[in-house]
Amino acid sequence: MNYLEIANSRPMYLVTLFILVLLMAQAVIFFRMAMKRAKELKIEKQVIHKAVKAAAITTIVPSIAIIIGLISLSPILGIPVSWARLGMAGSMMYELTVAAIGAQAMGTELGGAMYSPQAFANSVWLMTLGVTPGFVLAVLFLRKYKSGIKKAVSKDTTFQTLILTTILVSVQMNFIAPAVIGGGNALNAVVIAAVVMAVLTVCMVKLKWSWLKEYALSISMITAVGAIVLMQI
Amino acid sequence: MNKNKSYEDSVYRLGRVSAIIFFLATLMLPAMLWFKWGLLPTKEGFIAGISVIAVIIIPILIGEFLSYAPIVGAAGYFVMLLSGNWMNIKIPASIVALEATELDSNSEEGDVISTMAVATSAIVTEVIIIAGVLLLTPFSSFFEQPAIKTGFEQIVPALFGALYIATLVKNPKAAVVPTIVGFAIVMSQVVNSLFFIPVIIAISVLIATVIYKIGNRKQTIEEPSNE
Repeated sequence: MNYLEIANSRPMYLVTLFILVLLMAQAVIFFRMAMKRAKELKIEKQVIHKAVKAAAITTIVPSIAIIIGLISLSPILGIPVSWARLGMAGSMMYELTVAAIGAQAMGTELGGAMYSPQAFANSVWLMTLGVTPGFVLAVLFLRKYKSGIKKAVSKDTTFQTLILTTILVSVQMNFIAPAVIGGGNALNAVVIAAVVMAVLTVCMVKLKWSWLKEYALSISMITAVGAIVLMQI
Repeated sequence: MNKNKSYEDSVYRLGRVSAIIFFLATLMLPAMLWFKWGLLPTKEGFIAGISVIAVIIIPILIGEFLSYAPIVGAAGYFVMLLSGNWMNIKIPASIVALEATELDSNSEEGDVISTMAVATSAIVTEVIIIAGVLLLTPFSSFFEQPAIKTGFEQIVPALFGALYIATLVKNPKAAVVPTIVGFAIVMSQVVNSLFFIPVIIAISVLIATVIYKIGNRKQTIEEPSNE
């Protein structure tokens, strides 16, 4: 039996669907808990509606990028494993790196002609076990860490905002700086999206188009991607 | 306050239980390969792979934990843990939701709204992926066109270019230090790119804290009447 037949078999789909159900259930339960808490805090329904709409809209464009990841990964790992790993618990970079290491450790290459059923099994085991530290850290230390941070910065809200913004911009720089330095399409994407966002921000502030807030990020991304597609033609 | 405590308790209880159950469930994929088809990696291959991964992944995951836990509420963190795609989907969704509602991420209200945003985002992503799986064949031919593919490959830089402007407008002074440090670290190539985030954060937070403390002290010396 070809390993891809196994990878795309019904039992593998069933396990993936089971994992998906768990994930959705957890998200729904947390949402309802937050909803109940929001009522206690007397947060208006309109505010909740706005937040949910904004989050949903912002999610659409980058989620399409996951489908593209799925298209490139599924011929190698089969649909269920690619789906379970890309759409749940992981991300494209992580899964590709680990799956490739798994193949290499078995003396072959990811998706290569010699990529055997055993090498496939190795990739799947490593992708699954590789995230263990993330789960252990969250289960054992998240509460301690978060209350530690709260204590360290809570007395001073200006300082708190400064630290949070510093962390956020640091994460952004991880993606922006290489694009700016490397140039090419990545640089175009950064610049176009940034310019569009700047124009939209001016509209939001000067023209008081506050409804734009929910769409600004998506519009900026779509414009940049669209512009790059046009540049290729 | 008491209600807040009990909300927090139930968030951590549900978060921990769901994380453990979910992790065990993900093990069913490789376990299925083993029990149903007897597919196992060779012992040498598995040990070689797991040792490489331990060396690379453990520091990355610790860095992610330290970096992202402060910017998302606990409930949101547990939802992200299961649904993945943190920086490219969940955190932007939470930021935009907080912006749209004009709530502060540090407030209790902000925490609740951020949780709803991350949970909504997780559900929307999964629904889109289900649609993607069902329509994989027609999608493949569309997205595999070279121009379309090249465009979508740049979604992450586009996302962060736009997010950067949004952050810059809100808090320009705070963006200065991490911007300079970010470029310095990336250009100097002193660390492997896998560790850019934790290194940039550590150095930037340190410098920002020192500048802030010095500024504060100067202010107290210059304006003692304010104290």
